[in-house]
Amino acid sequence: MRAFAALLVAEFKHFFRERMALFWMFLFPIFFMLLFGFVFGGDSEDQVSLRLGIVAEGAGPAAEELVRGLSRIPLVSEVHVGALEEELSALRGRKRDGVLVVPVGFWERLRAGEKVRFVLYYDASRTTTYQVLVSVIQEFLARSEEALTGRPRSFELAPEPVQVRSFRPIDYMVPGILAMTLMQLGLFGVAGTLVARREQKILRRFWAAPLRRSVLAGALISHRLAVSLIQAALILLVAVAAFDVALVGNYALMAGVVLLGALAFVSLGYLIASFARSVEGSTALLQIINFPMMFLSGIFWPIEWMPGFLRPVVYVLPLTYLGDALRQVMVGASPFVPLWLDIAVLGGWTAVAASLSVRFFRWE
Amino acid sequence: MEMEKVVSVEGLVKRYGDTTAVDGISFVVGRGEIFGLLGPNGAGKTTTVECIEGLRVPDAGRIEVLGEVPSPTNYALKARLGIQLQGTAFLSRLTVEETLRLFAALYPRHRPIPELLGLAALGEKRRAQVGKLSGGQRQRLAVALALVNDPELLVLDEPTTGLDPQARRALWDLILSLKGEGRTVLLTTHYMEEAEELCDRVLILDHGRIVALGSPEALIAEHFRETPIEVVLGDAGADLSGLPGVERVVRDKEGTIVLYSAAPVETIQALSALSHRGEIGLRDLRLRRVSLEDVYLLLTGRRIRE
Ligand SMILES: Nc1ncnc2c1ncn2[C@@H]1O[C@H](COP(=O)(O)OP(=O)(O)OP(=O)(O)O)[C@@H](O)[C@H]1O
Ligand SMILES: [Mg+2]
Repeated sequence: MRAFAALLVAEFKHFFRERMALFWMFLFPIFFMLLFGFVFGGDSEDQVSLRLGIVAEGAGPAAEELVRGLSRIPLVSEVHVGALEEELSALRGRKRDGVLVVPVGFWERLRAGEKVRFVLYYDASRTTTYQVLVSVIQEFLARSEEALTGRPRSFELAPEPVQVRSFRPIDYMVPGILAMTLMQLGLFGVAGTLVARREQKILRRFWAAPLRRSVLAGALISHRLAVSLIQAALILLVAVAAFDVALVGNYALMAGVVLLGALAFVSLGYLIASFARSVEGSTALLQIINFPMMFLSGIFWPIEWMPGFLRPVVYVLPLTYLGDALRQVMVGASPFVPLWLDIAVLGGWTAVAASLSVRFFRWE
Repeated sequence: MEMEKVVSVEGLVKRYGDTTAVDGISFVVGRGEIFGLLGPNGAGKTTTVECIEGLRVPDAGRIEVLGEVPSPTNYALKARLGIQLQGTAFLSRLTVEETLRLFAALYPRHRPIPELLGLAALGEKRRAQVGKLSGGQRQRLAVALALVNDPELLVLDEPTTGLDPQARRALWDLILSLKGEGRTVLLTTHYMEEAEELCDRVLILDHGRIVALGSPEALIAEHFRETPIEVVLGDAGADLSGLPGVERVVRDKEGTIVLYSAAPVETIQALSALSHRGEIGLRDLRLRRVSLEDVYLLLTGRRIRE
């Protein structure tokens, strides 16, 4: 345990002092994302006009008054009245910015001082729009009620997120960039490091100490997993801050998928290090694996865009499944395959690569 | 010889594909001894010590170290050995002190870090990153790491290679003081004066076989009753083996001819007569004491003429 802790600390110090590696591993994906985001940012959110859908079935003439009032708000550019299903699908298709459901008999109930609940559906992926939307509706309802009863408000606004399935390119990209980063951290960060350390006989000196190989391997793996988590957090932070990418997943699940993905590629890194004899050999091997993964796994563009003859390749690449899983748990993208299958494939890759490395890894 | 065996090697064989690096060697190292392995490049020194350390697995033969059989997974034995490998590196971004602390944590017990820094004369460099040390400083760190676990047996593979004369002296003193504490040291070296100065016994290896084993004095006495006379000639071709008193002629790699003479006075007179008559171009002539160097040259030098 003492040895493990000392090795882990040493890995961290060594890693954070390696400026070039730090740049390529840590900051490059972020620059890449920023660049991509600014070039292909897609629909910007600084539009301050709201397109509203109103569902007011059975709400009577008072609802019409409400609609007229809403249309007069300068920030509101369009008001559509329709059935709930219709309006929600318009919201999903990005034709609405919010859908307000006006309850039956709201007018009478407000006048009687009863609590009235207005449900407001919004696009969960667009936080800026959401904030404007809520404050506009809140304000409008408060004013309407005050004009009606002169009392403090008894309406209640209940925002409901709706998972909007149409993505801006950046929403699609962020999980992809994270997946790519996790892959490279595993491939280059583990295979490259191990082969170099083997060649320089750094591993050999560790091995001359009474140190179990599993402890040495475990410390490096733990370090890379921790770095993966830090890296993921950093990418997500920048994605949210710069592009307002809405994270809809649950964070524990997200961390779980990040860890599983990191583990899969760390294992693959060990596997490559098992077969590469020299630093040059491993670099070539890594690139042979890196490039097809980057371009054929659908992390930069949807898999549907790829020609049919490439599909079989797409289906075997582990990055395909990591990218898909991350898109699902991070931004709620529609699945390429179900999440459990992504997890099963990644787990399978990890198990196969790990057991082959245990069998074939050479320390010298 | 009455001694407690710390290392015993019997019929050790190690092959790499077609090359037989070590070809059936046997020797023992007693407690408190400084034992030197000598031999030209590729003789099998590193292979031998790494088998003793349990880093390589022999193809044949038996090794016992401190009463145990070394193997890659004999951790208890590894904990008792102080190992310095030939040409190892360490994590380049850790400082000297961090590296010592890291290795200290890998062993069940360790010497105090400041003491190790002092022994290796790296006190000033303790905060320097390992990647920024000079070659000699890195070598001293490697030796300090061999001492980190306060070992009973030190196995040092070319510990003084790359050291300046002062650092080499300091390391000799350190090794002698370790012997004074009753520790055993097994080392390899290319420096004959180092072996003569330090080692109680030396083993000379060539092509994986033992060509000599014994104390430096005994080896010298065994192989030489003659006095070496070194001559440098302007013209390389002359045959000097017929001169009076000359028993053996050895030409070393730099072209110096060493005449081993049983009658040095007569030999020198004959040489100067030849030179006087212009039959040889005598550039330099030196008479010296026999040393381990001569034994080594005799036993491993390529061109030996009788
Ligand atoms: N890992 C290896 N694979 C293949 N051959 C090896 C390996 N290690 C050593 N050899 C070969 O075995 C022989 C002995 O090598 P070894 O390293 O033991 O020599 P050495 O006496 O330590 O030489 P030096 O003085 O140069 O350090 C050499 O011919 C070398 O090429
Ligand atoms: Mg060697």
